[in-house]
Amino acid sequence: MVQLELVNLSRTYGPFAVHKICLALKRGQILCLLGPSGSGKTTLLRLVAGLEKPDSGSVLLESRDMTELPPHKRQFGMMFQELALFPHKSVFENVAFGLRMLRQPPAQILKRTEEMLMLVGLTSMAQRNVGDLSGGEQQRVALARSLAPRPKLLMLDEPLGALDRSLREHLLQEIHSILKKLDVTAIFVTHDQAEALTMGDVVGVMDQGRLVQMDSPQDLYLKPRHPFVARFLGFQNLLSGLALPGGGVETEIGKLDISDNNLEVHERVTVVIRPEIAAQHVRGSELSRYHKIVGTVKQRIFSGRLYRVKMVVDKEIVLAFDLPITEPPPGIGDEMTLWIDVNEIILIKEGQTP
Amino acid sequence: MCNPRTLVLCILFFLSAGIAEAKEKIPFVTLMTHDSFAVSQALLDDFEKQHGAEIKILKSGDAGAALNQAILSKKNPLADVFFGVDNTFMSRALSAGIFEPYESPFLRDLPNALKLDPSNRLLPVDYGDVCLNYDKSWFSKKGLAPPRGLDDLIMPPYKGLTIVQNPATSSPGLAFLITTVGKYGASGYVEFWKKLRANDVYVTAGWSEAYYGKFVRAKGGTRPIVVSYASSPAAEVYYSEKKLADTPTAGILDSGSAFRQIEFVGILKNTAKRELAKKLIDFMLSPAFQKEIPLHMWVFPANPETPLPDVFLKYAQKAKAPILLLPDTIENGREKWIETWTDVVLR
Amino acid sequence: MDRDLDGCGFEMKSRLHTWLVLPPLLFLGIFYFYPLISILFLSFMPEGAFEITKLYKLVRTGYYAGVLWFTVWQAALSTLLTVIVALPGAYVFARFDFKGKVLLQNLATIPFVLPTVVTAAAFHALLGPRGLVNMILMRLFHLETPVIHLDQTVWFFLLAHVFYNYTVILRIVGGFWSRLPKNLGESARMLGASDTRVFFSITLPLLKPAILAASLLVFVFCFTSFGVVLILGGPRFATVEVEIYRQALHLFNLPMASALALIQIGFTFGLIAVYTKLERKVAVSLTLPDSHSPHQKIQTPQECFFVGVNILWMAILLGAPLMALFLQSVLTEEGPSLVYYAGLLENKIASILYVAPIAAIANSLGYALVATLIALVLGWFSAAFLVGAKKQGALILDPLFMLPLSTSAITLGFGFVIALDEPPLNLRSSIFLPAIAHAMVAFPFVIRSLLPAWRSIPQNLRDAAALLGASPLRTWCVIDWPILRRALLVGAVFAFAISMGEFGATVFVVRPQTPTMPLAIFRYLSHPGSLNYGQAMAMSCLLMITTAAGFLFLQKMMPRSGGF
Repeated sequence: MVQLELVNLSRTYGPFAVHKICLALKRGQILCLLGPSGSGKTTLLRLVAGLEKPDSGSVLLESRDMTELPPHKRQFGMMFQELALFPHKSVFENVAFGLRMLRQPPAQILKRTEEMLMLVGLTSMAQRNVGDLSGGEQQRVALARSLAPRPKLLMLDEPLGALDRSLREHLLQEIHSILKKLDVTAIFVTHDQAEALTMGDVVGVMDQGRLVQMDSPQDLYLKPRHPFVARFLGFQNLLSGLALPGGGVETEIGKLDISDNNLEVHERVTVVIRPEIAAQHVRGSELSRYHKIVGTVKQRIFSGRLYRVKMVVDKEIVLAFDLPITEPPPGIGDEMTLWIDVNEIILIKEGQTP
Repeated sequence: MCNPRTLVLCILFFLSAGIAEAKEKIPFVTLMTHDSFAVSQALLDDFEKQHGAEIKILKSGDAGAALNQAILSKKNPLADVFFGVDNTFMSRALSAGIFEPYESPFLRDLPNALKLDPSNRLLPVDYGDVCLNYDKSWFSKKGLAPPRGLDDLIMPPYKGLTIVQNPATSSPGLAFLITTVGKYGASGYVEFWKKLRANDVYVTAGWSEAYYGKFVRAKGGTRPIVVSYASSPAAEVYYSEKKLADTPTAGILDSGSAFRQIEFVGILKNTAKRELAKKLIDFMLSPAFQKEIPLHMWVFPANPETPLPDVFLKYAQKAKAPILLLPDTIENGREKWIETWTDVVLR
Repeated sequence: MDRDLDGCGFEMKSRLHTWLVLPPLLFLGIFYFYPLISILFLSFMPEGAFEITKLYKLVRTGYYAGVLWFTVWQAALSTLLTVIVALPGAYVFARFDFKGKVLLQNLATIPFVLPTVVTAAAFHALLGPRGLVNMILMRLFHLETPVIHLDQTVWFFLLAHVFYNYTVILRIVGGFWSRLPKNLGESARMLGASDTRVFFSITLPLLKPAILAASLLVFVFCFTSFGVVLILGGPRFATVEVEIYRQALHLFNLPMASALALIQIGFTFGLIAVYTKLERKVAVSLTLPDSHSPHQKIQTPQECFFVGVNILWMAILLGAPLMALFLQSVLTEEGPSLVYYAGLLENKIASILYVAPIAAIANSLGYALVATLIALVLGWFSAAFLVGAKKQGALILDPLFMLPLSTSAITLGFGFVIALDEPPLNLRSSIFLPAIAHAMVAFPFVIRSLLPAWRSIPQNLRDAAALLGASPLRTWCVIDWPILRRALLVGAVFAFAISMGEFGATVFVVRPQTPTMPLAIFRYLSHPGSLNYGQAMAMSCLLMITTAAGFLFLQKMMPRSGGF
């Protein structure tokens, strides 16, 4: 069942425009909007929230047109980048705010607020002043506040931006489990691809005001359909390629023997080699599936779970790979041979801009 | 949201103001004057009883400011009668043509010396002498004789004792400057002021700062000689917290050491209430009004027959031969004198 | 239906916004520009032709350029001194809680209402050649001559300017400072910044909008300073305002007075235009304005010392002259007594000008409350407009709103007399005119106090409330109002104080039967006699007490919090 639908939503004036955004979100789904700053993520969120007015297009909630409805009548929730906690109210009053706006009876407000505080583990801090809380605690208050009135859609605008890494990961999981537990439909905005892939049921990548690709995290990761998406997901090994007659793709590092490629002859493509598809050794029987690269190790970083290696091929092409720690790569300056699984190579056709 | 109490209060204030506004319906005559004008309420009521009209008083700052406003508004006068032009500003007022002549029957009671306008556009109401005052006890304690006239001020024993006001910002200050011009002549006064400066004269902006700031009778004051009025010693007795047997101060009233300020009243041109205006002027020159002048404004009534209050009879003196420059001379010389004075004394 | 209405909300908002500017503009148009232009027109062209001859001195001698330079110089120096002196106080008031804080804060605002002559008397009594301090020093060290020679020097009136304007910095900067998040400084300190570094690189830049706003007020106030310079500085110093007074009232050179008034207005306009530009650049948005409990108890000995030194300093700077005044009102020639206060109740000569103290208090309070109300409403509209105004709009209108503050009282007083004398504006003898005149000078203070606070409210707080279901009105009540309330209170206190103390314009427009307290003080001071002087001091003390009571009243009146 479709909960939220955006149809050709555009706002073209102003610094962060968005162009003809179309998407649909099922009930309980979490959409992660991923994109660099200035790509229009926040604008899109504000358009959905009703804080800004679109030039054209519409916002539908459960098939009802919300476009002309002011924000306070939409029953959406939002967790802001700067949290926007009410500084002159206590933790309890912050969380209870939305309930009070619904004019619920006090007993019900008390019950729901306490429930929410319990959910985020802040029961003991109800009467504290929000200014006295730590960063993580403030995030929890903001989450509880936005969830308390049972919004039909929750929007989270880079809510973890200001926190340190370990806290961020921890809170990310907590938010995810809370959202899932409450079966909330949500849009989560971030510029961190790991965050997006962890959180989202679907991930939408935005660039210059356009929704470039929207897919499940797995599909997005394994099948980026645009060089920008590939680059933004953190893939560094992007090569330009040219389809050869009789299969195969010519690239800067030689001919890649990719036969099953649906390419026209002489078609230009971007070749993406994900960092984890290389190995130092392969079994002889499988050699046909692999492409061999030889280069010089330029950088070697041990990160606990794996080695991140940068190697120079043909003097100018730098490729980066993640290698298992069970088989340490050669030292810097040494020659290294790697085998790449050709079936895992991603080909992005030119002109595949949405 | 907005506190209802605030609202109620303000509405009440506006209402009460409106009511006060609404009840003024009987005929009235408007008297424009300066800050220091004062009489008793009973006297105003008398006028109302006699003529069936109320006197509305419009105060417009000090004498200079009030006259300026009268001149500025001459096309649509704010009042019917103007009181408070003195002989230093008289020429200016007359040349601006804001007054019309009126031969009041009470004029014949007034001494000719006070009638400076032959065409009776401005009629004298009162006069007072601007002169030096000194603190008696200070001089007796020091064993120094009080100064007898202006000449003494520049003598070594009186070094650092005198306070004057800036003639550019103070009316008694200007009067005193004119005194020196009258006494020493159009060139001699410069010499006098040069010597007075050398004798460490202290200049204040106005009368209050001099009398209540620097004069030895003030708390924190150090100097025993100040430019003030001949009536000031009487006022000192009248406004003292304990009964005084004698004045604590005295004026220096010898020949040529005081300036006589005469205050005039006149009917403003273009008034719509000429008859009432005439009655008001007659009223101001009448014995009843003249009698109130001393204690309310601390000057002498123009009518010499007026009985004076005790404190005036005992303690207020008049200058023996005050300086009386012609209003035209003053008008023509004022700006030049003030500028010269500023150059000599301040720069 | 509902939907249609909400739909046009976005356009409606901007159209409504433009209307906000109408009430203040209308008010200024009628009560400021119309009288001002009338008087300028009349002075320059009394007979219908431009009278240029009286102006030749303006350019021919260097005198007037010198006066302008001196005016700017002393105003800048006064402002700088006031900021330096008052900043530590603002910090203490913003960060710490201690006994008597409210009292002290109100006390600091009292100098603002005191007539210049009274202040001068107080300073003379304290620091003059035979003042308290000199007498004590002379006795202590067995000296023959006074030690402190401030009388008729620049320092004397600079000190008085600090005395008068301390509270402007204290209130506006202190109020803003208390909402700065404390942890900002703390995090900088964690990064290894020393206390001084934190102050100069973190705190000061954040405080900039408030400091600038307050400094501007102080500067304009000192720029148009009249009585303080005239009386404490002595006749050797002349500001432009003093020169206007001299030209208009004693030399009858109205064209010159008007030209100088125009120069003064033009200068202020330019100054504020520059300021407006600057202010927009430094406007800082605070994410967590912590207005709930910004204060802390004094804990460490260093804090105790710091707070103590500051309070002591305030007490000396502000309290000593006030105390000197009080002493003068009770120390008669026969020792301490209340004879001066008793004298206030007595109409010795049945004068029409006698005003019972209770009547003078009532008049002053009445005018002040109405003036405060008008100033708050106008200031609110203006600030609401300026907050959302486009750059060009604010660049012109912001300085425009400030002009009344910088216009000489004489010029404006004359203008009132000339312009407001015919129906439907026959207000010359209206009882409202003083309140209107006061409100005009006061509402720039309300604007300056509101604007930095208003601009500092993060938009996302409003967005958050809206998304949680608060209607625009509700949002305003729960977000804007609690934050603006303090700023509005500061504005109200200043408006009230200005009205209570105003003299220069009042003297032209007030009806003689309903004088204000400063006017009554002047009446006493214009006659000789120790009783008159004592009564003037007694009335001054009543003025101080009434003003302080008024502050408390305003604080009570201002509703604590909106919303629930």
